[in-house]
Amino acid sequence: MTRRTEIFVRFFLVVSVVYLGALVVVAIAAPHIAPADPRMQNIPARFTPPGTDGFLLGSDEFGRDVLSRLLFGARSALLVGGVAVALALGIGMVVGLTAGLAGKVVDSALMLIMDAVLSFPTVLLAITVVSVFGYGLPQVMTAIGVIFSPLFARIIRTETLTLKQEPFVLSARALGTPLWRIITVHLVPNMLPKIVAQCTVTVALALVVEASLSFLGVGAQPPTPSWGLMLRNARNYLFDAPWLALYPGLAIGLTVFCCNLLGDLLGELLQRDQ
Amino acid sequence: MTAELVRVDNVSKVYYQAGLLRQRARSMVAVRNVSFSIAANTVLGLVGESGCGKSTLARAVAWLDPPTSGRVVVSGIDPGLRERSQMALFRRTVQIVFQDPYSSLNPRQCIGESVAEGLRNQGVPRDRRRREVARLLDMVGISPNRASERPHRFSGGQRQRIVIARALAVQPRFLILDEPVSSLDVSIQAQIVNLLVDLKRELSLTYLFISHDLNLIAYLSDEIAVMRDGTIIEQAPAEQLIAAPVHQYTRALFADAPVLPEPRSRSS
Repeated sequence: MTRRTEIFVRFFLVVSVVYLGALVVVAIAAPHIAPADPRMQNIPARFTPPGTDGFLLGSDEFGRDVLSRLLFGARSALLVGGVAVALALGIGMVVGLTAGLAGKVVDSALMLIMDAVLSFPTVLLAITVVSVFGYGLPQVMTAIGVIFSPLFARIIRTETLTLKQEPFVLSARALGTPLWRIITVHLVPNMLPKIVAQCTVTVALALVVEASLSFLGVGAQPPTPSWGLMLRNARNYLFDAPWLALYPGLAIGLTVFCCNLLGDLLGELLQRDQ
Repeated sequence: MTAELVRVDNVSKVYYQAGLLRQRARSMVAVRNVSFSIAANTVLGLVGESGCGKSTLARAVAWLDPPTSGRVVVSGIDPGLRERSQMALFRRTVQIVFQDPYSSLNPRQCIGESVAEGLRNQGVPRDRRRREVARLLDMVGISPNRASERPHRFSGGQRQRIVIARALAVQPRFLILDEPVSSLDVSIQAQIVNLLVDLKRELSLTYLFISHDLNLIAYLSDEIAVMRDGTIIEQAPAEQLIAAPVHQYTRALFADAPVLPEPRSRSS
């Protein structure tokens, strides 16, 4: 990489880290920094344009403060992203390590299941799962976690297959190191860069799916503040109150963009360090 | 001759390429019916060109990639019995050093941790471990003060010293050296070889020394085995084999440069 692209890459890395960091702070501190209760309705003040009457980003069809809903929506988004990715990572870790370390038969069987899960269109499969187990964010998180677990399982399996042939892993086996220590000391730390990169990218994917499901009405249920849900309601007033769609749309777009950027850049940086 | 320490009996290693529908569709015999024994405190040199099954044999004897058939017995311990106690004993008796010192150490572990690994597995307490590590590092010529550094701060030769220290930590009797100096500079090669010779004398070790470098094998070995296409085609005491090789392939190996199986500085 040239010096110029290097600076460019670092700059965007900082920007996305700052944005995502701010998002986390906002999500945690939402009750303290939000100007109003995100669920409090104020029918006389419906469709207040941004910047008037104390509604910094306007109000929606029930007169609720859009800014407050946006801030609280960050909570749902990060919760879904975090929990879904943690679940995907957990399942993927177990499946990937088992497939990589067990024999060919187990490996083939597990990967067949993973490929089957991966072959479904993501949103369609999520809708099916949520339809069976009920609407709502917990179900959405679980569904997304399960659906994205093959992404992790594949990476972890490939890494395991490569690493277990490395002389340092063979040496550890020759020294009689127990399997759990080989996994925790020799395998997982050495695949961490790839896992971290995959995590950030998957958070972005999870956010998109959550927003899609909420938009379709099977995710977050009213009056839960959720960006996808805000978009869903905004659809009906697109011409009268365009700010209702603009801000949650921007929030989703920016967050997903920054997650993807961070994932790509992290992947590249960690790759180079090795 | 002293007592036999290592006995390798009819060891074969076959790799199956199993398909989803056709099991055992194709098989590849990497090592075929190899037998040899090594007397205690001696060096068996194993020569052969790349891809002849030397490393597969090394991993089979070390029981990392157990043989498809055949037995390995080291100092009366047979890992093929699949008994826990036997296996644990085998792991303390037999150690292996690989060719590439760069991938032989976990990049995310400081070298002290690496060297202490075998001791930790045996439940040696922390303070005794630290003393042992210092002693082992000192023995192979690495400053014990550097125990907390990561492998990337060390050169190839230094890393191979650390790898040897790690193997010796469990006080093995038999060391399998799979091309231990092949990826090092020639000047460093001599240092490591001398270290190995010294350690063998001090700790009364037995070596299986694998290499494609005939000069090295001739210099180190008490006995030499020549391997080709997965089998040992000739085995004899070193002087005898060098002076009067019986097999034509061995003669070709020992003849002058043009027939040498591979250039000295190969890139791998």
